[in-house]
Amino acid sequence: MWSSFTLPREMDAYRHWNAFAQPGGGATPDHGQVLPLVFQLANQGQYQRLMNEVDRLRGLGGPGPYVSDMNPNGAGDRQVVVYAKPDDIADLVALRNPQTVVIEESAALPEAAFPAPFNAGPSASYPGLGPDAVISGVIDFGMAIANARFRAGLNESRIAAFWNMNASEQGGSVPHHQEFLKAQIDAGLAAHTYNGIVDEEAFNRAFGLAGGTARVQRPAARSRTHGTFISDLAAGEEMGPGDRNPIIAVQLPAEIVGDTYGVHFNAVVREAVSYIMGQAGSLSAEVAAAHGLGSDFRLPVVINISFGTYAGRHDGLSTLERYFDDMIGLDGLKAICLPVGNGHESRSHARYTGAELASPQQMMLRVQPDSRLSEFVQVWLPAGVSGADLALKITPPLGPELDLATIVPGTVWEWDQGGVTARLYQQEDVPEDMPGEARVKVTLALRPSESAPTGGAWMIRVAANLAPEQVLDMWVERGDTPDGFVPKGRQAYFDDPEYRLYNAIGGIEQHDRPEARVKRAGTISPIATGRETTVLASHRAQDFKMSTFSSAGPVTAQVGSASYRDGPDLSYPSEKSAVRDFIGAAGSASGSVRYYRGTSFSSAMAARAYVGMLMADPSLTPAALRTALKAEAAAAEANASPGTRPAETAERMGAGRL
Amino acid sequence: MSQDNVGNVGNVGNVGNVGNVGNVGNVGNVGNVGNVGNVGNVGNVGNVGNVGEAISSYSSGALLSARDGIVGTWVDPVAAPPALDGDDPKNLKRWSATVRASVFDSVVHAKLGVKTAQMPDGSTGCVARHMDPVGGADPFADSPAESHAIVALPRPDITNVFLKQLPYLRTYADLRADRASEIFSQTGDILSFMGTIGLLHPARTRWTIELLSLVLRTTVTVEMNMKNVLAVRRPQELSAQVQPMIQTPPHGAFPSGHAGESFAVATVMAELTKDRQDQVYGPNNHVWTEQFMRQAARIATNRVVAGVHYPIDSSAGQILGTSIGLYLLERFRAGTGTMHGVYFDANQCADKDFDPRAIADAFDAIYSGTPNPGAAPYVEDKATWIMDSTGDQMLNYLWRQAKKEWT
Repeated sequence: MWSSFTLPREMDAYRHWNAFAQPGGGATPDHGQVLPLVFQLANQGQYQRLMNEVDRLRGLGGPGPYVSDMNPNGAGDRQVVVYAKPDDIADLVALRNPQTVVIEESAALPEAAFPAPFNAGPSASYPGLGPDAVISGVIDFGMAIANARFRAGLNESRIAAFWNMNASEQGGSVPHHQEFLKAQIDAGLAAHTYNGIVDEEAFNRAFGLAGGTARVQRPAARSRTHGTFISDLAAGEEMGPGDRNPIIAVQLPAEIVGDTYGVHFNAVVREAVSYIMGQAGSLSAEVAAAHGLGSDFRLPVVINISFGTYAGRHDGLSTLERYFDDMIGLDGLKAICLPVGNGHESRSHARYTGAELASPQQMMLRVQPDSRLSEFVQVWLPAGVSGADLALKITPPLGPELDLATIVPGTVWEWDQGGVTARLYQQEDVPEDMPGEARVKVTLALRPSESAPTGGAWMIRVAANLAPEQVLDMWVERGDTPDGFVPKGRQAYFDDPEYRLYNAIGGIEQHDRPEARVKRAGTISPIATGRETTVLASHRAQDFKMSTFSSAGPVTAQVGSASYRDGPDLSYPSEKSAVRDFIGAAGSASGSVRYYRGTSFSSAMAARAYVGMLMADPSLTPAALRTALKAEAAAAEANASPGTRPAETAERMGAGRL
Repeated sequence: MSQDNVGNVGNVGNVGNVGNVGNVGNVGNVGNVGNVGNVGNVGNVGNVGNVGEAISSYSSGALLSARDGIVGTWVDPVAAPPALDGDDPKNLKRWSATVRASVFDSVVHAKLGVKTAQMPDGSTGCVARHMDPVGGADPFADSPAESHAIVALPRPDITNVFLKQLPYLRTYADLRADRASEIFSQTGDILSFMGTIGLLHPARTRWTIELLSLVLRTTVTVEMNMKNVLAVRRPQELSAQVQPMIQTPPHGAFPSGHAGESFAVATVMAELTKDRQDQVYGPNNHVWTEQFMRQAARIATNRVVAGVHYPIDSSAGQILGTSIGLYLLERFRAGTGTMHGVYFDANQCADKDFDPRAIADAFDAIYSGTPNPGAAPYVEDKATWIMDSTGDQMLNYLWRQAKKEWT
């Protein structure tokens, strides 16, 4: 049987779910955990109020909250992440002032697994940088920072600063320190140079990036690592003299990357962006002082974040997207490049029009057995539609039905079968300061099918009172196991009999049928639908066919604003051909080449293109950069010889394929 | 071959036995244990030249009938040809590679032994020692042998050391997919990996291959004796979750044979390529040595990745292999040189990972006399002695032939 309880409005479904669904989670949520509270502060007064409260809590005995302020001098970046222990949460949340102080709660993290954050540490320094340098920021996982592609000389790194968040149980001979600045990296390179060659294995061990006995994944040890590959595409150069562009890199924690549903994502990505901008500010100040430039001089920064999920608002108004939109253009941040996502064939998106929903519609959700990740399905109503206009019936494969004639935000339904097995969270998602964009959001959360009776075919029946042209969207959240990780999640998906997997000649079907409710359209990553970011799709170099996995727009339109994107901005080739499908870039060890494909890599290619453009003209604004790159892509389409590339929609390729 | 077989000319099957004379030369292979057996076979290329072996057993009867046809009546020789010089290394090239192998093995092991002894940590470990002289001038008189320590290994405690090493196997297992092809190749072949750094080829560097085969056989013999004495359980016996990706070999874990063999070969090859290295990289850039050492370390680590060794086994193997390599180099030189008896204080490494750089630095420090801050403190210099190997002319011949292949 399902039972219900109420939930405070500001409680996030994923955070609430994780408190119970974590191993060892039980009657006392957040026990042994820290909760990242992301404070978005409007002015110095609010910042001071927050710090006063933190000091007060610390004075009560015990360590109190951890404060992480990565960019204290940032003009627009007034975000501070406070890691609160359970006892401190209520007091900190009480500081919330809906008009000016926004707190976003990310999912609670086991305290032991998350590195103790710290305030802005020592300032990055890169002597000899010229005022025309462009900073590449990389936020990723699995970065072999000693690789020669990131060195200007044998013992000269181009990495100005590296924050290794994946640093719990560190090991290594470098004193416990999660941040490495260029001087330290250079010293480490020198200390591990033998007979003219850097012993990168020894370096990685000394810096805690490989080896050891930790339970934390040591990604740099593998011969093929995502972060190294990305960094090479975005910023890799032959080791040797010449104009040098610095790199600022952040490696995310393994637990967060491994849990592909992205629930922990927000806090760490914000911190990473903040950190990059803080250190970019230090480098800019150093260059300004050396070249007699004004105190407002900023080196341009291009950041690449090659991650994505499946479920969300898709209208550019998620808190992370608004954060990106706010930050781009401030303090020299010229671009954030994101992949459109690799979920085109994931069957993770279902869409119903109001006309279709006049009578109840049924969708099957297949949850794979033996999954160790929780599954989530999100149902989104358009803005302005009340929960009273939505009816849902959830039928588990082996369990009682939940039949709701209306949806009441603030209520949670729970199915307890020897422990919490599933929940249906009914909420309203209200973007900060934009009540007109409030949307009803229903989240079905399922215990991992490995240990709960959630594997199998779920039926979701939907009925809604919508205008004929309005749409209701459902997304299955990403739940696979990323490359290089121990198997954990297995992707759940919608199973629609009208959906065609293969086309008439046996190839992967790329187009949607009107008869099918499961759509390839709208699979764009929900953090890639914002206004100011640059979103990249992937195609094949040989024949310009879109990569079968490259997700598609459209995005969901905002109520109060004109559409600004159809999908990705443009496309880069992360594949060669149908047969030889991978592209090559740096493996972990210097000189090695490994192969990968994915929209992650298209994103990194765009980041590199932006760096080139900014080297030529650092005054380019973010909009000018995007416009110029899209114009190049559009020109490539227009000037292509007839027959050399198949026609494609803007939802798949954006302005065009480079 | 027996008289009976020779008489049974009419019995075609037995005639074939006469032609099997060549097989007697293969006795040398019996001495090759495990992985090394494959290497020994490279030296058996010479067997193809044995009369009777290339010819089929049926046609061996041809030699009998042909002799009958042509021999005629006996003619007495009037004088003997000059005798070969006895105890002359130059005779070695007259014998087959497998015969030479037996000679070298006997020469080496006459002065190299392993004995059980109480170690500084109180455990019953073992020490490899050099014994000299093996008898004085009188072949029948009793004579005392002096002996010196080469390398000693303790017997670490299973709970305080090997149990603490287990977590490394969990982390190293992450690399199995990465290293799989290397691990499978290296179950039977180390020399290919060393040979890719310095050229090795059965025709082009046949003496070097004989030399390295000797190094390998010696290391294996010593290490198997030590494994037997120390009798350390394999990781698979301490945890159900190691689940090695290759068959765990049927001998003790500590020291690691692969590590010992690889570092012994690396030590010797570094010496062989020294002149080339000086020419190509200058006197201060030891790139060839570096690559040999890295390859040896990788081969050793691959065994931990595979799940059949603890990291401390690699440390012991490097210490053993480097010591054997240096020892053999001294014997090969047939002169006098300083040797150090080295002890591995394994308890200091109970929870530590394998650090080949620190161990190599320790040997550098011990042999050069110059302290090195990176030197592993657990590699202890316990004895300094002079080796007089002027009597090892047979080994010296082999060494000189091999050295000539590196000009």
